[in-house]
This record gives sequence, C-alpha cells and structure tokens, in this order.
Amino acid sequence: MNGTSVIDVGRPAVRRRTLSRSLRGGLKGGEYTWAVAFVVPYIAVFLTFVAYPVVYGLWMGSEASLYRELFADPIYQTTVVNTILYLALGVNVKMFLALLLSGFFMRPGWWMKALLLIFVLPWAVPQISTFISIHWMLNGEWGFLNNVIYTLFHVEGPSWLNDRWSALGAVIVSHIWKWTPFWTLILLAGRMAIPLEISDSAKVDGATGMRGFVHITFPLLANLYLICTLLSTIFLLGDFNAVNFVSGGGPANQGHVLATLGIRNAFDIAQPRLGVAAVMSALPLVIPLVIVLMRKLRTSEVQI
Amino acid sequence: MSTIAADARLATRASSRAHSSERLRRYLRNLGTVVLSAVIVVWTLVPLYNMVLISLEPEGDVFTDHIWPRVPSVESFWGVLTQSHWYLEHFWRQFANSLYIGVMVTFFALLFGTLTSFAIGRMRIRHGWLVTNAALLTYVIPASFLAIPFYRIMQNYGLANNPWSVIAALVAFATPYAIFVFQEYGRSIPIEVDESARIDGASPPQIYLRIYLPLMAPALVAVGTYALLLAWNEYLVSVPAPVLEGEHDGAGGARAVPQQRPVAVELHDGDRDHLRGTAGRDLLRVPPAHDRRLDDGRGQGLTPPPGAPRRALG
Repeated sequence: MNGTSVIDVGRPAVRRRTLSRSLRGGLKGGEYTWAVAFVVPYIAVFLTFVAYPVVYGLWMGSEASLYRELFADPIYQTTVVNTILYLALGVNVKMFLALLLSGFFMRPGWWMKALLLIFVLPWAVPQISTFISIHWMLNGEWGFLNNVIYTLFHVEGPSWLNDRWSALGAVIVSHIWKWTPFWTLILLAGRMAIPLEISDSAKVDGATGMRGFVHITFPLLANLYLICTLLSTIFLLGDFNAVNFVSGGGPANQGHVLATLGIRNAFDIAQPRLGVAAVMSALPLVIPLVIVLMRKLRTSEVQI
Repeated sequence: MSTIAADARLATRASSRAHSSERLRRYLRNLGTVVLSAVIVVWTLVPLYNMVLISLEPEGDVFTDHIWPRVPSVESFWGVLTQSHWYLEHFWRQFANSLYIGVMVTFFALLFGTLTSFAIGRMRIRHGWLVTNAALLTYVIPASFLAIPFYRIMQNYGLANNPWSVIAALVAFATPYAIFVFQEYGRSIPIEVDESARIDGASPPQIYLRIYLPLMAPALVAVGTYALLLAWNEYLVSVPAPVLEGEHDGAGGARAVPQQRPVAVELHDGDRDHLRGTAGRDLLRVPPAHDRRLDDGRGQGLTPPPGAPRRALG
C-alpha cells in the first residue's frame, strides 16, 4: 500500500515513477529539488554544530603528550575511580530500582496513578535548581538533612560534602533520585507492551509471582533493559550537572568525574586541550558501548 | 447422605482456612504497598520541600535549625520580582534572554525537524535514513565532550558572546529528537493524503504547509514543549565563552556581562553568589532567601561552592 494510492494504480505515471525511483527515490525533478532544499538546513546545522565540533575536539585531543600529562595528574587518577563508581552504582542501582518499581506501578487503582504522578516529579522539575537544593540540604551546619537528624536524635550530623566518599555518594544518590522516574516510565511502558495473553497463559501454567517474573517478564524485558542500561551509561558519562551542582567536584577536587574534570581543566585552569583529553580518555569505553547499542537497536527493530 | 454433609463441612472449613490465609496475605500486601508508597513520597518530595522551605524563609533566618518555615515569608519572591536586591538587578532582562533563546530554539527545532522529516518520511528522498541515523548519533556523543570544542568553534564562527551561539548549539541538540518523533508520528498519517494533494496539483511546499503541518499539530506541541524546556534548563553550552588558552583572568572576566546571560546561567554562574542565580529563575522554581551570609556559610571549609573557589583550589 505504501507509496501507491488507489487513484495512481494503472496510470502511466507508475512506470515512469518506478524508473525514476531508482534515481531519486521516486521524486520528479522539481520535487527532488524541493526535497533536497528541505533537508539542507538541518544537514547544515548538523555539519557546523555537531560534526565539526566532534572533529575539532578529536583534533584538540590528539597529542600523545597531553595524555602523559593527564595520566600523571593525581586528580585525574581519583577522577577515574570516581567515574567508574559513579557509572557502576549510578546506572545499575537506578536501573534495578526502575525495574522493580515499574512492576510496583503496574498495580491497578487510583492510588497507584496518583503515586506515579508524584513519583515522576524529580524528572519533571528543572535539574539545576533541584541539584542546588540538594547541595544546600547537605550543608553540615544548617542543611535540612542535619536539621532533621538534630531534631530527631539531638546529634550533629556529618558535613556530608566535606568527605570524598560521602560527597560522591551524595552525587550518586542525587542522580538516582533525578533519573529513576524516567527509566521507570520507560520500563513501565515496556511491561505494558507485553501482550496480556502471554502473562495470562503463564499464570494458568503456574508461573506467578517470582517465577512469572524470572521466566516470563524479565526475558521479555531483557533487551529493553540492556538498551536502557547502555543509553543511561552513555548519558551518565557525559553528565555534568549532578556532579557540578551537588558536590562541585569537591572536596578539594577529590570528587570529580571525567565530564566535570574536563570542564574544570578547560575553563578553570584554562587548558582546553587537557580538558578535551580528559573527556576523550573515556572514548575506549564509549565507542564499544555505542557499537553494542546500535546493534541491539537494530535487532530489536527486527523483532518488532 | 452423611458423607456428603461431612464432605461439605470439611470443604467449608478448608475454604475458610484458605480464606483467612488469603486475607492475611492481602493484608500484608496492602501494608507493604502503604509502606512503600510512603517511602516513595518522602524520598521524592524531600529535595523539593527543601527548596520551598528555603524560599519561604524570611531574610536572615536561614541558619536556624527548624525543619519547617516558622514564619513563612514571601520577601524573597518579592525581591526577585522587583529586582530590589543587588544580585537581582538584571532579573527581568535575564528572564527575557531565557525566553528569547527558548522561543528561538523551539521555532528552529520545529522548522528544521518538520522540513527534514517531511522530505525523508513523506517525500521519501533517497538516503534519507542516513540523515536520520546521523542525527540520532548526536545523542550518543557525551554532552561534555561537545561543550569544550563548542566554545572554540563559536569564536571561529564569530558568535562568541552572542545568544545565537547558544541557540545554534541547542537547535543542533533538539532537532534530532524532533525528526525522530515527527517521523514516527507521521507514520500514522496515510501517505495517500499527500498523494491525492499532489494529483490535485499541490507543490511540495503547499503540501508541507497545508497538509503536513496541520496534521502534525499534536506532535508539534509535544516536541515544542521539549525544546523549550531543553533550552530553558541548559547550562553547559549557555555559559558564555571565556578566553581559551593563553591568559585566563581567573575571575571569569571574559564571560558575558550579566545582561546577556540567560537565567539558567545566572542561576549558577553567579558563582560567588550562588543565590542570585537560584533566585533568578523563580518563575519556574522557587527562589531561596537572598541572604548574603548564606554564601559565606555554604563554603563549608573544604567544600568549595561549585564555581569560583574551585579555581583557587585547582
């Protein structure tokens, strides 16, 4: 049905079109020009503001001496450890919570819908002001969290952001707070797409509860879950806001991740090449992820 | 007869036992639901509550240890709206900048998105899939990787300290999503609509304007909202370019004058006075109290406020 209408069938135009289709995708001369004119603005934007910056960045970070300097920097070494922890915990805890919560939100009832509405708030509100709010909340002297601890237990809480590990933990928790709702919604949509017949017949065969989840639901969700995890890893690797606004890479530069270290090197200590090098040192991780992601996306298209 | 009665008695007893265990299970499950719901609500709302709490503090009352606003006050909001505090003297100007950038980004993302998706999805230009895939690649490049080259390139293009550098970068980020959504949505509109218009003599621009755009209205609204929010919240590319390489004045002196900043940048790029920033966007979010002393308190010894003092430590 695609491409031919009832009116078109049997007209001589059809033959001419099939011939020209091989040349121009079925468009006549004037139309072809129009189509090209329609695509050109975006292609121009893509080339000038995406492709060229990428190439420029690769060029900026192409000197080997930059990496020697970078790897010798103790701040870079702690940053790599932080980034690995941030990725490993941030992505996996978040995705696992999202997987569980998406099952929870599948329950019927108005209460669940109202709860879901509240639950997606962190995702819906602008990130910068909420991250700053979390930063203030964790202030050791007058932050909300320590005020609550003091009110309940009459002890002074720690200065959360003054310790490397609790500062990094705060960043990871903030990330989980901010982004779990989004991935929960995605997985919820994935669960809803599972045909009712499958889960019904599984129930008849005795696969309920945990067994239903392990043998029916999760295998059907696995591909989506993997794609989400990969995408989330890539997003997290480029994430600047959570770290910058919650801990600011602190205390004393002990809490940076590659993204914030790159920006710090580029702008705070005015060495943009070193900044690009810091961000680019993640490429050996990013490129395989992107390749796997593309393959997974293609197979999932075929399945559908 | 008696056996039947006995069977029936047994059956009722068994079923009542089953009932009570079923009731217990349901009770436990409901309890679990309630507990989990409460945890989710508290977890979700605490940072948001903190924001409201701080915004309602009267000036100078931030350091006390209460966990609810004792004397709720709207002074902070009033201070923002009237630009009465020195941090906030450019608030409305910055608000206008945000609005201008947001509207422009939305307009161009929608324009380029619809044109491209029309040519690829409806006119079926050859190799169109190549454009779609390349566009989606934009999203697998870590954002911070693009940010640094951007500053340099904007200078090469002569766009440094110009809102159009931000607009261009954000259009480049927003359009791939627009193309993707428009193409997906476009599949639900029968291609025969376009073809019959073509037979009636409509040219491609006419089909685009009179048929494609009106039918795409719901998708336009959705993507437009997305683009506007993206532009409003963007921080990384909106920080006006400092001088790269060579002398750096350390204090960000090369950055744009406050009048040219959008509020999302002002929100944070106040650096030394973090507060000015957060207050700067109160129309979307809640502003904090505008107390200068807060700045001094938030450094917390070793923890630098994100921004200026990091330079000193780095």
